[in-house]
Amino acid sequence: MKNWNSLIAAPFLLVFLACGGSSSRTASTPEKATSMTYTDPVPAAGEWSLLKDPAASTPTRLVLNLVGPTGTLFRGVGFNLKVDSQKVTFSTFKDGNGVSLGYMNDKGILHDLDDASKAVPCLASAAGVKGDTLSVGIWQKCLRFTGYPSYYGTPTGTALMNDAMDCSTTPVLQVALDLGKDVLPGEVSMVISKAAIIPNHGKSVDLPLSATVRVGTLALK
Amino acid sequence: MTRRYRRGLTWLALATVSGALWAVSPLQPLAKEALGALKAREDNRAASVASYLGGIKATFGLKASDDIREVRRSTDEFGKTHVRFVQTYQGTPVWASGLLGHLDAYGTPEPVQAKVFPDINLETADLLTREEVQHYSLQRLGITETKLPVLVDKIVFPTRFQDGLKLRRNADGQLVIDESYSVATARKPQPYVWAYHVVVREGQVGEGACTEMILDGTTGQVLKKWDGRTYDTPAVGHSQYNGTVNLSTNPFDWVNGWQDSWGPNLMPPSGTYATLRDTTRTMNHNPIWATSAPYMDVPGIATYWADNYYATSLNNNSVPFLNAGTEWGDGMPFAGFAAGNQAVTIATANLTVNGQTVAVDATYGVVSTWDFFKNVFGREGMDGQGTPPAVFVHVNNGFYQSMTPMLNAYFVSYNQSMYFGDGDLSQGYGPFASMDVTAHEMGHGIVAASGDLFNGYEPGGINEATADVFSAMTRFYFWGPNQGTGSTIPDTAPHAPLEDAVWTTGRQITQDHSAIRTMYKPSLDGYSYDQWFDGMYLDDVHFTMGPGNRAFYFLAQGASTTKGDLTYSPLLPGGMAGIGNDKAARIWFRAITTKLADPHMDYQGLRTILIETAAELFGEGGTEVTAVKNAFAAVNVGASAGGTEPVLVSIPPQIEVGDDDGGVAWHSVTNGFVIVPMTGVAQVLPVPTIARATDLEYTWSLGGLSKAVVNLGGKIIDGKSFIAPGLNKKFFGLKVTSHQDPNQFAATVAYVCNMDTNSDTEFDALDLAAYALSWGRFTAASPSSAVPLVDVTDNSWVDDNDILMAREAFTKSFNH
Repeated sequence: MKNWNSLIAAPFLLVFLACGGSSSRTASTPEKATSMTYTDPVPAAGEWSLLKDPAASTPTRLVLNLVGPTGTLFRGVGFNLKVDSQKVTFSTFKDGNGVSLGYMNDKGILHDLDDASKAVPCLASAAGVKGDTLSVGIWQKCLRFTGYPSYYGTPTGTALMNDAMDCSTTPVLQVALDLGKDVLPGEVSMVISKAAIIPNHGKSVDLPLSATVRVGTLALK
Repeated sequence: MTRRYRRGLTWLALATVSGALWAVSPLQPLAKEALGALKAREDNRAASVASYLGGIKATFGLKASDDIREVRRSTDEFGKTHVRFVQTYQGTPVWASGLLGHLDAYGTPEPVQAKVFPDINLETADLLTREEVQHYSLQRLGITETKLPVLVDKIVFPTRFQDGLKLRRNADGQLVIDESYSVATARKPQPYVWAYHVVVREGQVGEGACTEMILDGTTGQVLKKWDGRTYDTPAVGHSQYNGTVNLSTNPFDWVNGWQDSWGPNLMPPSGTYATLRDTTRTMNHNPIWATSAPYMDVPGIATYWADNYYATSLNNNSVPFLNAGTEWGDGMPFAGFAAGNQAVTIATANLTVNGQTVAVDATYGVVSTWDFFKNVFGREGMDGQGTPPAVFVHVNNGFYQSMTPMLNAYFVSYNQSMYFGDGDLSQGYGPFASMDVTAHEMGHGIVAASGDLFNGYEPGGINEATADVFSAMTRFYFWGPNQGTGSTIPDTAPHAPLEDAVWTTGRQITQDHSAIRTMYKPSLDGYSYDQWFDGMYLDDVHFTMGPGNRAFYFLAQGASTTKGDLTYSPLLPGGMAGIGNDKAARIWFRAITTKLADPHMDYQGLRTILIETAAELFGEGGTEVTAVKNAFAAVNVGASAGGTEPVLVSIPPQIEVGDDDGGVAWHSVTNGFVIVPMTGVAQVLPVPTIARATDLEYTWSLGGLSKAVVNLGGKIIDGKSFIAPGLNKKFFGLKVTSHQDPNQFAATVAYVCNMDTNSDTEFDALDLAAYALSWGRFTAASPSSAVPLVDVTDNSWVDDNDILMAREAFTKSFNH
């Protein structure tokens, strides 16, 4: 496949060089953007939002906290964030030992708080980037429901995860953007194309629901 | 399109120094007195080897924080002392490492074989306690208790060995994923982690599963797991296999805590008894019993009635066979106790003469195999140190399988002991205690004591093949013209009880005397493989042993030049002459016991050490070296003597999914395991990026779906042949065959699964919500069709593996 592409590309390149070589133009070098300015959104009641983490951000790295609506308990959240990847790129996190955490910094508020089972896996979480889109999801192990099987020695009908979290004050996760190389100043498009949460509505069967995640405005300067 | 080749990574971290300095002339055995003198100085000689290795450890790239620790040692008939070590890092053993040092009879160090990991750089960490590890081990297996303590060893684990898929055959003979011994998780970014190697023995000795796992030292995550037992495959037929035999017994006494171990129902009848315990071969103790079962901590090779025959009445303790007289057994198939009679006591069990018969067979088989190794190779027992195995008969499948009869036998390396099932005459199998089985299990003991081959994939197949090799040679020795005397292995077996009973396994056990395995044509069983190919390793080790068995047969007896003969190989159409059983067995034995440094040795590695050994024993330019090369070429491992390397077909573990149609498609592979998302509309199946891509024919076997053949010219021609609307999940296999050379092919397995749980035609991180909600649920227990139940591996319930595979799949699909 690679060889095929090269063969096709070569004649076009020659044509381009022939045209360009015959012209004589001068151009001033445009001023490159050196920093990012993010304005937090104002969510309506019941909405989630991506807010700037001032402490973790730098002029060229924007760290966004995902914050939930006040008083809402939930068991998982995920969203797809689309940006103009010509101008900014999704960035990864590292832990204290330099080990990559990937595109999401799980703040650790979704987990089983029972020490006796701390090593039992309880989160189905992942983050990935495809083209312009970052997809993140962090989902807790399911809630009790009738007929629940014995699991890890847990008696039938016992909840595996009983902790529903209020993340209105503590962010559930972070994502980050880096300023692109040699990009010009201007607005950067940021769109949440879809979002969902698993609410804590106390029913025997939980289902993911659509949610609204507000994103602010990003400008390159 | 990104291509990834995980299996093709060069292990720069691996330092191997081997065999460059083969002996110029063949070795000569030492006189008995000289050999005895050398063995008496084995402690000092082993220390010299350790000192020598310590002095050259930098050669392997080892640093000050790295060290070595002796595991075992032996001195062979040529006066060479071989000492096996593992690498340690900050005092902790490094998993999968191995070093073999040697000292010749004159005290000169010889070339070293080493598989070490020189680039370890681990910080100290807050690790789980042993108690926590034990707790999590049970959790991971979904059990709440074991009868024996969980064994826990702290290790450094190279994460390149993380994960692993194991397949098994279902009742219909189809390959399915064996969840019990499969792990598929996101690969850790660190090259090494602190970890724990645990052995979980669910039942008492000889009962139930014995699962080995690697747990992450800080999180308890399962990084790898495998079966801790090395089995023989199902088998066999009659009851009294060996006719009237001589046995060595010992008086039974009450020392060693017997009385304390048994409940009142288990008290033997009053009187004086002999027990099946042979102290003529060795007076050593098996050290494992000193702590795990003190009442069995007795000298010699003892045979026990397994604890789980009637577990409730035997109080979960294996018991010795007792006999007030000197005659044992009745030579008749074990008839069991009367139906419903669960109230057997040690008295009734042992006074049932019929119940002794299988013990006679097993004991005779084990001590005979002991004699074979001693007389032919000068080996004292499995470890060369005279450590006795314990022998358990009447082994059933244990509580967890409703105490059903065990149609099998197995060896357990941690206690160097072997276990023989009763079989089931109604299913066509007698007790699994004929000589082919007993010698096979003892062969596992030789391997375990020599190289600790990993019990899975190609090393597991080599382990099985080696056990079969030693088993066949034991039978030639005892069924040959000299009937178990002398120090050579004959090429004929005029005293074999059945026709073709030496190159096959199981003819005495099966009631119709059919073979369970056939060394010269392994595929006769319908499952085993006659030649090596990429992807073979995914199958059960009892089928991947095929190339090893066949290569040994060719080496010893030769290969036919006539197409259609069972001993003909299309990979060596000109055939070959064998070098005879004795020479072939000596090469194999010496290679396994003195050159097996890599616990993950593959067939190429086996070929290498056999060539080295043949040169060492018989000279570098001899016909023996030529024969080894030709025998392995005949099973597609390496070039024939003077020939060229075969052009192999291989499938990299990372397989791309084309998205030429603009549809959603992605891929994920873990050790050959492909997860393909279904978008509900159209599916473009994986196109392997393989060597000789323009030359290949892809044959897809899609379970219930239509089959198709795709001819590739470097791109998909007919990718949409596999559109499968409505398919939720399906397991399928892929075989890739060369057009130019149909003898060359490769295979892998794949799982098609609809990952788009919210039906929005995309597979993204939001789909993982359904996995979280399904986690821990049985699919059959779904209260509502609206609840997503996403059992990726079709195991009837959604477990940790499903979650981890889904996450891995998402990561692989989204990040490119």
